[in-house]
Formats: sequence, C-alpha cells, structure tokens
Amino acid sequence: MAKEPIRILTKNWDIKNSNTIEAYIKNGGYKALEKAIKQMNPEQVMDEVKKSNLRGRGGAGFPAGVKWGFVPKDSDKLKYLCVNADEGEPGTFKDRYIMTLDPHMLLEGIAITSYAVGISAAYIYIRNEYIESIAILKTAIQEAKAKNYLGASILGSNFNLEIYVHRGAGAYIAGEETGLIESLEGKRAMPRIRPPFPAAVGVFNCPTVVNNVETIACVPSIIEHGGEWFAGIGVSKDGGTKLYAVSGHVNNPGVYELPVGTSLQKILYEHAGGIKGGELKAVIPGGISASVLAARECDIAMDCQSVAKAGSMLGSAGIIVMNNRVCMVEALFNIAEFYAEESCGQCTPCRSGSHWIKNILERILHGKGKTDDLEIMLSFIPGIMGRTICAFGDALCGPVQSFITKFRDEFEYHIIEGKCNIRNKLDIL
Amino acid sequence: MIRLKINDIPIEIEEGKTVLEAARAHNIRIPTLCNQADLAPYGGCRLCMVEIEGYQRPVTSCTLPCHDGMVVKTDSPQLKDLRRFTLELILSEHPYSCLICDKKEDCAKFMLCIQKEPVTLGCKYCSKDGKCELQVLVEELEIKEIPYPLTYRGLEVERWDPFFERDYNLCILCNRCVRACNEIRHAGVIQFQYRGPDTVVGTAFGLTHLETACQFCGACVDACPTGAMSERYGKWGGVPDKKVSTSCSFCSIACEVLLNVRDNAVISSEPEHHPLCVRGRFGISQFVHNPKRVTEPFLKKGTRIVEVEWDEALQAAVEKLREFKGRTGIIFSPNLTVEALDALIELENSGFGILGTSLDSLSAYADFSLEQFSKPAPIVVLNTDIIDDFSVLMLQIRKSWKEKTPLIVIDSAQTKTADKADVWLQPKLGKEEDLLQLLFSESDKRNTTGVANELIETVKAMFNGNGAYLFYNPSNIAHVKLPGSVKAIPLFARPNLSKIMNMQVQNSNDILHDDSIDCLFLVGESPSLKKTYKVIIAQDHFIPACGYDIFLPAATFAEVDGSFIALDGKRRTLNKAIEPVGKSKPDDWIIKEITNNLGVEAGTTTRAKEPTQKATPKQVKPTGKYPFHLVVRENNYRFRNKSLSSLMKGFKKFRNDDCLWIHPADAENLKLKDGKKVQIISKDFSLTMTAKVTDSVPAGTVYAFHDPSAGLVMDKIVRLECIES
Ligand SMILES: Cc1cc2nc3c(=O)[nH]c(=O)nc-3n(C[C@H](O)[C@H](O)[C@H](O)COP(=O)(O)O)c2cc1C
Ligand code: SF4
Ligand code: SF4
Ligand code: SF4
Ligand code: SF4
Ligand code: FES
Repeated sequence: MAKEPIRILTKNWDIKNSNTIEAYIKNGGYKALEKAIKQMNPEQVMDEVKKSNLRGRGGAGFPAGVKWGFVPKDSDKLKYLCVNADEGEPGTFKDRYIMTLDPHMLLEGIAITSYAVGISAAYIYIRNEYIESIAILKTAIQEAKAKNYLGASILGSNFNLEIYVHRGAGAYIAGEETGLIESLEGKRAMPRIRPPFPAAVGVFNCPTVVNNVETIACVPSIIEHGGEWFAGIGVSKDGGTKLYAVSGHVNNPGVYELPVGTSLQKILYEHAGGIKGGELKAVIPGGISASVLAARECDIAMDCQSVAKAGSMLGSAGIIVMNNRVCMVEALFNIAEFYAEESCGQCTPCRSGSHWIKNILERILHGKGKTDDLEIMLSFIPGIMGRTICAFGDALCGPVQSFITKFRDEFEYHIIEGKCNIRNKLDIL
Repeated sequence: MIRLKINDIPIEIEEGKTVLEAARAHNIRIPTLCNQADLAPYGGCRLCMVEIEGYQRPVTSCTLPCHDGMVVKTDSPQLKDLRRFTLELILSEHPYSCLICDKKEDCAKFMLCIQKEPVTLGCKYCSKDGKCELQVLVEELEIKEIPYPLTYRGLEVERWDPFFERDYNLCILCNRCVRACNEIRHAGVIQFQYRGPDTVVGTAFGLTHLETACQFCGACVDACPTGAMSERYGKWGGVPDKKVSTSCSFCSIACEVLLNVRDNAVISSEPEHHPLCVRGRFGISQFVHNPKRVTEPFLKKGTRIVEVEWDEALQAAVEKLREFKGRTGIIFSPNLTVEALDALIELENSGFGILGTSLDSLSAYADFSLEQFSKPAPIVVLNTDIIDDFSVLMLQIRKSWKEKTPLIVIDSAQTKTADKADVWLQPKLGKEEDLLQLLFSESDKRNTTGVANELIETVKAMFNGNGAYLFYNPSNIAHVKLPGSVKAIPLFARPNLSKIMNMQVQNSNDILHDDSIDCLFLVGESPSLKKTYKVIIAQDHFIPACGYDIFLPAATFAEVDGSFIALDGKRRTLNKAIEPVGKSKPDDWIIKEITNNLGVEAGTTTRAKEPTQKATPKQVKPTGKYPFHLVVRENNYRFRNKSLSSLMKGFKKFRNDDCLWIHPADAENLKLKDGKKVQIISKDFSLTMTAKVTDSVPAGTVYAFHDPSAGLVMDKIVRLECIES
C-alpha cells in the first residue's frame, strides 16, 4: 500500500494544541460523525464497522462490529456504552496518549458508536491516576457539546447523547468489563458470571457495549474512509493499524502506530531502536497477561492470530522487552506479586492460587526453593486456567506456565544452587 | 419443562433452574460451599464443577441454567481431582490441623476442655465443631493431607458488637453472609474489602456493626458455613439433640422459629421458613435461661421473702383472692397464650375480680393477611420504626414484589427507618393527620405541617395514582380518613388482639385508679402503682418492678404447648421445646389451679363495671411550667413485664430503650450532657432517665419508649431537671 506510514490514530498528535476542538475540526474532525448521521442509517454504520474487521484493542481481540450486533434491537430498555479507559494492564500505555493528545477522536468515535447501536448515554470509565486525561476529556466534552456534536439533537437530528467521565476506583480488576460495570454501579469491582453477557444485561441491568478506548477511536476513520479501506490495512480478519506500546530494554521506548500484522522484529529494531544494554532475551508481546516469548520465538507478525499461533496473545499490544541481564525468576515473581495483589478474591483458585504461586516464587527467589516447587506451580495451572469467573485466572496462568517451561534452567539453578545464575550470587531483595 | 440427564438419570425440571437445583431435586449430591438455596448464585468457591457433554471445560453447576437435552456428569476422577485441589486451596486459608487429623474421631473424648480458647486454630477449638460444612467436605472428598502450609491471617477477633462475634481468620470467603445481608435483609452492612489474599469481610470504614445499619438479624451468622461468624450466647452450646418448631412470641408477627435443644435447654434459635428479627434470632435462649429469671414460688412472710412449694403458694393466693373478693384487679399482659386468656375469663367469671389490660386504641384493630399486599405500591410508614420493630413483616411483603417501590416515612423523629427511606417527611408534632390529608386527598387546606409543599408534591408523584400502603402506629393516630386506594394497616406490637377485644375488659389504668381495689393479681404485667395495695400476687418469669407478696413462676413460651393470635388474626401454635425450667408452670395451669381451688359456684358472674370507652386524650400544649412535650412510643422490645434491654446486655446496647431522647439545643439550655441522668416531671408523675442527646428528634420535644412499670404510658407535657452534670 502506501509508502508513507499510515497514520490513523496518531495523525493529529504532532499538531500544536491537538487536543482542542479547533485543531481537531481543522484536520477534518467530526466529518465522520456528520456523515454517519446525515447520510447513513445505524445499520449501515454497523455494517461498515463489521466490514472493517476492527478487533477489540483491550485484550480479548473480539470483533467490534459483531459485539455491537449482540445488543438486542427490540429491547425497550436504555442502552449504554462503557468506554474502557482503565488501562491497568502493566506494559500498556497507549489509551492515555489518545485521551491526552486527541480526545475528540475518542468522543467522535463514541458518538458514532452510540448512533449505530442506539445508545443515548456513554460512560468513559477512566483510571483514577490519569488526572491530566480526565481534565482534558471533560473540557473536550464541553467543547463538543457547545458545537452540538454531543448533547441533544446532535447536528439537527433526533439523536441525543450524553457522555460522562467516571473515575475508576483504582483496581486492575475494574478493567475487566463486568468488573468495570459493577464498579460503575458503585459496587466493588467483582466480575460477573457470564452468561448473560453485557450486551444483553450490562450496567444498571441494561444492554451495554464495552469497548476499549483505542477500539472506539478507530471508528471515525472507518466511517470516513470505509470499512474495506480499514480492513485492507491490516491482515485478514484483523484490520487497521494498532498502537504498539514498547517498553523495557529498547533504545526508544514509546507508542508506535503500525498496521496490524507488522513483524515484531520490525517494531523492535526499526521503530523502537533496538535492544538496550545487552542481547534480546525475551518479549512479552501483549501486556503481562500474555505468555512470554523467548528470543528465538520473536520472529512473528503482531496480529491476533499470529501471536496466538506462537503460543501467546496480542492482548493490549503492550510489548515488554527483556535483555539477557534480566533474571526470569525475578521477572515472574514481579508479575505473580501483581496478580496476587489484584485478584478480586471471589474465586478460590484465583485468589488462593495466585497467593501460593507468589509465595513459592518468593522462596525460590530467596534461594529457599524446594525441588518440587516447579511441579507444584505447574500443577496449579489445570486447576486455575479456565476454572474461574473471569479471565484473570487465565491471565495469571499464561506467564507462569510460559516462564517456567521456557526458562526452566534458570528456575532450577535458583532452586539447586540457592542463588541467581544471572547475577551469580544470592539474590537479596 | 426441560429434560436433561444427570449421571444417566433422566430428569425433568422447570425452565430457569440451575443444574445444581436439578441435581438436588433428585438427591444427586454435588459438593458446594458458596451456594445457598435462597441466595443468588455466586460461583466463587468453584467446588460444584460438573462436566457437560459438548463443553470443553467443566462448569459450575450452581450458575449454569439447565437446557433441553443437556447431558451432565457430576462425578469423574478429573472432577474429583479438581474439587480436591480447590478445597485444599480453601483450607490453606483456614486453620486445618484438626480437619485432616487422623485421630479426629477419638479427639472429642479427651480434648473437650480446650474449647473456648481465645483463638481458633482447629476444629476442637471452634464453636462450629460438628456443624461445620468444611468438615463434611473434607470427609466427602477424602482429604488426608494438604500440601500447603496454613496462611493464618492473624486478624483480631471482632468481639465488640452485641449478639454475634466474627473471627475472619476462619472465613473462607464464600460471600454467603454478604449476600444474605443484601438479598434477604436489604441491609447492605457487610461486603468484601481489599483484594487478593487480603480479601476480608467487613463493614464500611471499619465501623462496628452497632454504628452501621445492622439489624442484628443474624442472617449472616446463619449463612456462614464455618465458625467465622458465631452467636455470642449460644456458641458453645454444641450440637443440638433436637430442633423444635414453634412460634416466636416476642411480637405480634409470630414468626415460625426452630429452637435448638440440648439437655433440656434451648441453646439457640434459628429461622425456619422466613427470616427472623434480632429478638427471635438472638433473644429466645437468653430469655428462657436468663440469670434473672425466677423459677420457684415465693411468699412474703412478715418482712422476709421465702421460697415455698407450689401448694403453699397457691393456697396463699387463693386465700387472698377470697379475702379480697370483689376488690381484686387482675391485670394481664396481652403476651399470654389463648389458653391462659381463656383461663382468666373463667377466673373473672367466678366473680372474684375484674380483668384489665393496658391495650389502647383497640378500635383501630383490623385483620390483614399477606395476600392483601400482592400488588406492589409505595409504602408509607407513619410514626413507627418499621425496620427495628416489624422488619420481618416488611421483608415478607416486599419479597413477592419484583419491583422496588418507594419507602416514605412520616415521623417527627428520625428513626432507623427514616434513615433508610426514600423520602422522610418530618411534620410538626400533632400535624401527622393534616399531612396525610395533604398527601392523599385533594385538600385545599393550608399547609401548616412544617413539611415543604415541594416535598409533598414529590411524594404525591410517587403514588402516581396507584395508591399506597400506610402502616401506622395505632396509639399515635386516633383517626385517619383516607381514600380507598390507600390501604391503612395499624401495626400493633401485641398479639391476641381480636381475642382481647371480645373479652370486653377494662383498661388497666381504670383499675389502677379505682380506690376500691385492694388486691392486684398481675399476670405478666408490672404497672406503675398509684396507691399501695394490701396484697400483690405476681405471676411471671421475672420479679415485677412494683414488688409482690406472692410470686408464682410462669413457664416461658418455649416451655408450653398452646397458641396465640398473630397480627394477621390467625392462630399460631406453640410447641413445647423443653420441660418448664425449675418449678415454673404454664400460665394457664396456674390460673386454672387457682380458679379450681377458689371453688366457684357457676353462674355467679358479676362484672364490677362496664368497660369504659376511652376518649382520645386532648393534645395539651407545652406551657411555661411544663415546656417539653414528652412523646411516648410503643416499645416492641418489651415482653410481659420487662423490656428486653433490662434482661439482656445485647439489647441494651442495640436499643438503648430506657433513654430519653432530647435535642442538642434543649440539652444545651438545660446544661444536660449525653448519658447523664435527668428527672422528668409532669403534673402527675416524676421519674429519672438517662439522656440521649440526638438531633433525631425536634427541639422542644423529648421521646421515650412506652414502659408501664415506669409510668411511661402516654404523651404528656413535662419539665426536665438535671440531676447529674
Ligand atoms: C483482568 C482483566 C483486566 C482487563 N483490563 C482491561 C483494561 O484495563 N482496559 C481494557 O480496555 N480492557 C481490559 N480488559 C479487557 C476487557 O475485559 C474487555 O474485554 C475490553 O474492555 C473489551 O473492549 P474491546 O473489545 O474493545 O477490546 C481486561 C480484562 C481482564 C480479564
Ligand atoms: S478470576 Fe480472579 S479476578 Fe476474576 S473473578 Fe475470579 S477471583 Fe476475581
Ligand atoms: S446481622 Fe443482619 S443486618 Fe447485620 S450484618 Fe448480619 S445480615 Fe446484615
Ligand atoms: S464470614 Fe462466613 S459466610 Fe461470610 S464469607 Fe466468610 S465464611 Fe462465608
Ligand atoms: S419479628 Fe416478631 S415474631 Fe418474628 S422473630 Fe422478631 S420478635 Fe419474633
Ligand atoms: S457452589 Fe458453585 S461455585 Fe460455589
């Protein structure tokens, strides 16, 4: 396709005052909303999004148009949109850029989505720590309302929409869609049992669409340029560009917008400036819930199916890079500690299992591991994976299983020698 | 109807039931912990996993609705492994040494004495021993060892609230208590807090339960599968020998209750078909086996009081009744059995004395049944604290309603119900009827109620032409005229109303003011006396405050067979759970013995006086001399001659019902401090109470609970004097 890099989500980021409505409109903003409302009916909008092969950017990679289609049309209840801006997955920091640098793209996406699904109230459930983004979003909503892109009778039509910014309560699990809904209702973020899915019974018992910030921010360009155009950018069944957030041992960490399916090698070496401080040892390709890939497995394309085929997942595309000076026991302990702290506590295997995995890793790390510790940890996996209310349990198992099987020698060294093979000394934290 | 197969057994079940429910209906056991039939499915413990043909993974049967053609397997080696793994994890968070001890069968013989340790480290130290669901599951899943060391949370045991204690070191986070509190009681007092391994049940901001809206109903305690929540009084009572179904007599609702009995003692009580309130759940065993209870007959001989045998006590009573024939007032409590009331009629018919009771406003009495409330409508509560006093009734009424209707409270005082209400209207004292008129009829009367017009309009909009249910306190409101769409239900605290109405008895006040009466026979009552009597015969569980010459110990409702009439006009049965404690005897037995020994010639009925119809007392305005209006509220936490607070510490903490509620501004003027003694003086009485300074009551008004033995029986104008600073 184009030699010029394709910029959809980041196209306005370099402009001065990119987060003001003036700058946004000057660069063609809110044209898509106008097009949707004036020239298309809601079904046509939804069809374009289906055609675009836009997949959810929050982690599960579910096709967005299909999800919207699950919302019952004949329900006489109100329908809601919840934009997931909790961005809790460690290694993920892309949504914040969108909200800070181009909030109107998100708002326009929300408006189009709401028009397509028949929604009149949308919530942006935002991570409490994003103080700057919260202020910017609130201003942007006022600006858009003043110009009638939001509010009552938008652009003279009979479509009304209110957007509310709801500050999260500071828990990772509040990013899980049903945990988010509970939290939004003022309760403790405890994921719900599915079915029913949010599309049928969501917030306040009403049909609800939950989508990630980036997913929604893709919608305006899909409407502007057409679903087929968007689908043509990515790979089959996985369209468009993606914000890859690269962190860890690279020379240029940051957020890179590249077509879905760009090779990991290209992202790491051409865009992120190569490995810093040593050789590549491992990559976590999609936030810490994704299984780790050893250096030799890193020759893959970064789209949902390819990463899945390699035994991991694209997840939120938060790429965490580790060089050969990283102790994998310590890295896994770090991850396990996070999960043990963040489990909502509902399901036995998740709550107690994450606690034990953390405890066992802690003793291995401190040189007090026992010979059967690895087997004990691996034996947890069938009891946790797929056995819990939400995907948190799976998210915990992926890293544990992959770290231990792929870097087993390091774990065994810790256990047998009582010290770290990387630092070659007893690790005292 | 849905057809499915569980373990190759064909099963039919109505739509909407879960696989677990289908299995249970056919006695197929699936291990569970977090499931409780009357609570919403939770799916947290993950023990109830089953395999479904065509499903990739095992699923929790408690959350899975049945589908046609489903093929379910509830047991397989894989499932057993999975359940074991899960239970082992659960136990790693719970002191498990005794659970898996291979000597546990023999342990009880030798180690009983170590119970009551301050910390529970194993079953033998736990009050739930023998009743715990973990013990059953460990046996069922044959767990012999646990590969993980115990993570003891090391939390402080919460012993600071009345009625029950919480040791969350034993909690397995099944969430049943949380759901019970929310779903059964709509109280929302407890919730999980913190995350991960720190997750723990608790109240908002770590408040004590007393500081929250906790009703101390015990639904949480009953839901708990472990010893984490335990009843304070009955916790060491052990495993009951039997459970006896009877009716709670503490209030007019008359809930079905199960009494747990061991060695002829009531060790605890639990709900049978519907929830109980704090009185029925925690009050019964403490009441029956109260240390203040007197279970032997006593006689005053000169200046000494001596214990005597029944023969002598009855003989003495009969002699006195003969001596004071025609000059005896028999004052009885409505909290008696129908059989005892019948026996009293016989006694009165013998012409030895006149009967009286302290019930007012009986004319408002109307039967009602729960079926009357099938249609959801807003609930208006007038001058009664329905959450404290009639919570069970409200829960039952609302249970069948799918939608939640508004709760509107009209009360000059801020009660617990007012706190929970959607709208609380605080009219000026005495303006309640006017406010009702404004709310329910198109009256163009000027609004002098003190409630803002907008608020009245808001409430009217809530009725939306659908009518409402009005629950009111019969002793506060004399006459309310309402449109047909409003169903008004007076809430009487005492039972047996229809029966007592037909008995045509005197008002006890008339008897007490009658100078010709020289002998009192008090059956379950203890009035405040206006004169000295030659003889007082008291028949009760506790010594009356007014003193006595002859005491006849009566058996409590847990110790008798009989019946009484509940608020809905229906008869409730009392089934004897234990033999009468000590030498106490059933009320009807005592009365019949007396009547028989009096040797009555039939047909000598002489009624001393026709019952007088009581006029509604005129409202007197506070004056310079008596600047305060004393409002006396019905006390539903009184039974026979005692308030529950005077008998049980828990009720004292929970109700604080011997306090005088006074507004901070008034207290300040009087230089009266919270918790200090204050003297209340009116034209015809004077008594001392403890002040509770609270802005829940309006200035210029003080509130107290009805207490006949202290003379607190009706509203008055009073003066207050500090006697403690
Ligand atoms: C434990 C857990 C945490 C999650 N956190 C987030 C999050 O912070 N942000 C997010 O967008 N999605 C998160 N998700 C994914 C959401 O559940 C949900 O799939 C997503 O918001 C759907 O939006 P999408 O279809 O646009 O991706 C999380 C999922 C799990 C299981
Ligand atoms: S899997 Fe973990 S986070 Fe998810 S509901 Fe269960 S306990 Fe909570
Ligand atoms: S006693 Fe009743 S109200 Fe109090 S916490 Fe338990 S269930 Fe809730
Ligand atoms: S206190 Fe009891 S009922 Fe409540 S969660 Fe813990 S174990 Fe379950
Ligand atoms: S509501 Fe009345 S009958 Fe029911 S338990 Fe409480 S006191 Fe007893
Ligand atoms: S009983 Fe089904 S998960 Fe606990």
